[in-house]
Amino acid sequence: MSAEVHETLNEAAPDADSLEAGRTAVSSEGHPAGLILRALSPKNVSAVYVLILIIIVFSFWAPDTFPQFATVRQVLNSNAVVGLAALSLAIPLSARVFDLSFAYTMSLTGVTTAHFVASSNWPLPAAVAIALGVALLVGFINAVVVVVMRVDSMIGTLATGSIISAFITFVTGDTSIISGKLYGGFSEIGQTTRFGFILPVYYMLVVALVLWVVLEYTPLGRRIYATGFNTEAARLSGIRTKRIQFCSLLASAFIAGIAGISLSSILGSGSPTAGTAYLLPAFAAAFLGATQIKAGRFNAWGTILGVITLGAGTTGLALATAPPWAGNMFTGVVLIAALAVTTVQRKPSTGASLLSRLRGAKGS
Amino acid sequence: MQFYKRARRLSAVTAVAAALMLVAACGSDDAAAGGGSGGGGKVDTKGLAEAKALVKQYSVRPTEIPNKTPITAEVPTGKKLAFISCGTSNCTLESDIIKSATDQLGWTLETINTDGTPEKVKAAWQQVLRDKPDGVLYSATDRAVFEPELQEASKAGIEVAACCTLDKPDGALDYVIGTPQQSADVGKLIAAWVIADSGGSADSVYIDLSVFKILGSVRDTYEQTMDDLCGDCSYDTLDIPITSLGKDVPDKIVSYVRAHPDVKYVALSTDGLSAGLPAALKAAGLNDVKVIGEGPDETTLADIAGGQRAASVAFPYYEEMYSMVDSMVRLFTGTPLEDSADIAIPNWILTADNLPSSTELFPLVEDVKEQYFALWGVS
Repeated sequence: MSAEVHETLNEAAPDADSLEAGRTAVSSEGHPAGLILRALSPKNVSAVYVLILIIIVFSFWAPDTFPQFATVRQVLNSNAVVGLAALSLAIPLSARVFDLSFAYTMSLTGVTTAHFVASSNWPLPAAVAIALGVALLVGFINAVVVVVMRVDSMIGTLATGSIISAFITFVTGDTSIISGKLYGGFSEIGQTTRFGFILPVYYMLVVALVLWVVLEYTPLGRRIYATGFNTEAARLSGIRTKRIQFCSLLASAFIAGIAGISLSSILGSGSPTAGTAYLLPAFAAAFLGATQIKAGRFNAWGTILGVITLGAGTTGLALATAPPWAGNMFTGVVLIAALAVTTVQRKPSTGASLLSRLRGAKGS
Repeated sequence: MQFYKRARRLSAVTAVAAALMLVAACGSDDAAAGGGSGGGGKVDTKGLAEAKALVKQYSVRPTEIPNKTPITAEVPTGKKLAFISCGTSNCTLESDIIKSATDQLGWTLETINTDGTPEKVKAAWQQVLRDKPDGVLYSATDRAVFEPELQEASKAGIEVAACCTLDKPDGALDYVIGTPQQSADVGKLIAAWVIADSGGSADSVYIDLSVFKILGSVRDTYEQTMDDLCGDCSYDTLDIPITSLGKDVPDKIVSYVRAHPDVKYVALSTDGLSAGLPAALKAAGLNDVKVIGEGPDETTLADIAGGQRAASVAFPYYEEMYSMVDSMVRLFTGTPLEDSADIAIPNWILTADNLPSSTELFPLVEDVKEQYFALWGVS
């Protein structure tokens, strides 16, 4: 399955359309205007155009409430955790492995932090450190299952997610950890505002910045992409692909841990199921992000753009008093539309390419 | 070729635009279903006075337990009860409360944990049929899920009492406390607090969880009280789908309040909807919006004490759990059960001024245990 995804996304790159764009770029080489035009092409940032469309539509639809700075705050504040969760997926997906357990890791770290703060007299930094340590342990187990034991990543992380869920039930009895002790320092992790934005927004931006630097400007980033594009070719060229995939699952769990602690702090409690609600939105944002900025690659700013686009749409619908089902419908439509735009850039979907994808999926 | 590709790209963007328009056109104002009296008129001074009187009356800690008739027969010891827990932290608290009563009576309590799903609840009832306790207590579940097991339990002579459910007592279900009728006053008190606090001119939104039918009576009395006591108030209802719980409830409420800037009061059908809400309102700069709900947990109590929440109507966990045990005492001693119409559930509006604790839940009636022990004749 993971191979299929990569086939789908990777085929976005070198087709006739791109070659034409390349020729245009070559012809305008050295001209900043040409580079800017290429960067702003709908092929690179279609979500930006969708975002502009959203802003225009809702500025007319809800003129009193949507076109305000408060909407920017609301979109970012209410989607910071989704952004962190989506970023946690970007690295393993770039390295051609799925991590379906991230949502359970979020729940686990939230419950762990709340437990140590509420039930013990542990200082908050120690509780947070333990929770992040637990997240890394989950990442390690995922890595052993997927990389060492060679279990398909989708099935393997689904299984570890189930084990995490069982562990949470064992510890909490499936009841939320609620205590007056969670009011104060613990709640400040996620509820403190700076310049109108809650701290998780800044966590999201910092994580995105780090991912961007690592993926774009370091040899490690290029090795991760190489592993994701063609694992066997990368291995034959000397890249330690197993190590890359191992570490990508560790990184995923760590970032999911940050997301889980932030979510738990925002809610003011340790909910045993808090993270599972983020499974689909995070994947939607990550896949939408993979069609943006660096089309065909899971990337940090594309993911953030995806989160903001989906968040702006759902917030606009809520401000326009749309029915409760509208948000999920919007997310689905945007995701299909964005992937359709990317698919247009690919070679015609012949039977051969379909077979190729199926072979990739089978072999993964 | 280029033309077709561009056309397809355009069609994708058009699909998004069409979806937005369709959704907004289909849905505008649907979410805000519900009525509301018009605002902008003259304040109903009589209604306002009545609302203030209600708030004053129910801001005082109650002293009366639901049951009143003493039991004259000797209460047998050694009875075995089973409590089917609904899988929430509140149910865990309920189990602890019931155990404090059964310990005093010399009875044993087995708590069967479920996650509240029908299959787990049904499995719990099948365990009951295997264990054959003397009595079964359950909370906030629907008997339709376990009707065959309930009938079988009845045939086996197992007494059954329930709390906080729409289920009606009959031959198989002996006693129900926390019926919709008994809980209806909660909506009245929430509305009265909103009216009194606003000086009789509130714009409010009632946040409903219509999937839980038991909350329907709370919504009805909220709306009725608004209509009866506040001609100058307007209210609306926002129904939250259950799939939003633990996910985007705060965002939905913030969006509603931003879309309706006159709304300064948010009335929650249950404080279970409060998780993350004070923080979301604060982050959105909606610092002048007051929130009241029902059934606070420790987080809500801390929010009230810290000024992030205005008020909450306390849920009578201790009183209702002890009332269920009381029904078992009556059934085991052959004492007639009290008529549901004669049972008054205590209510208490909690604010920062009268909060007895901000760190743990507490009984509404301070000496609830002692009063029941006296009723049962146990020391």
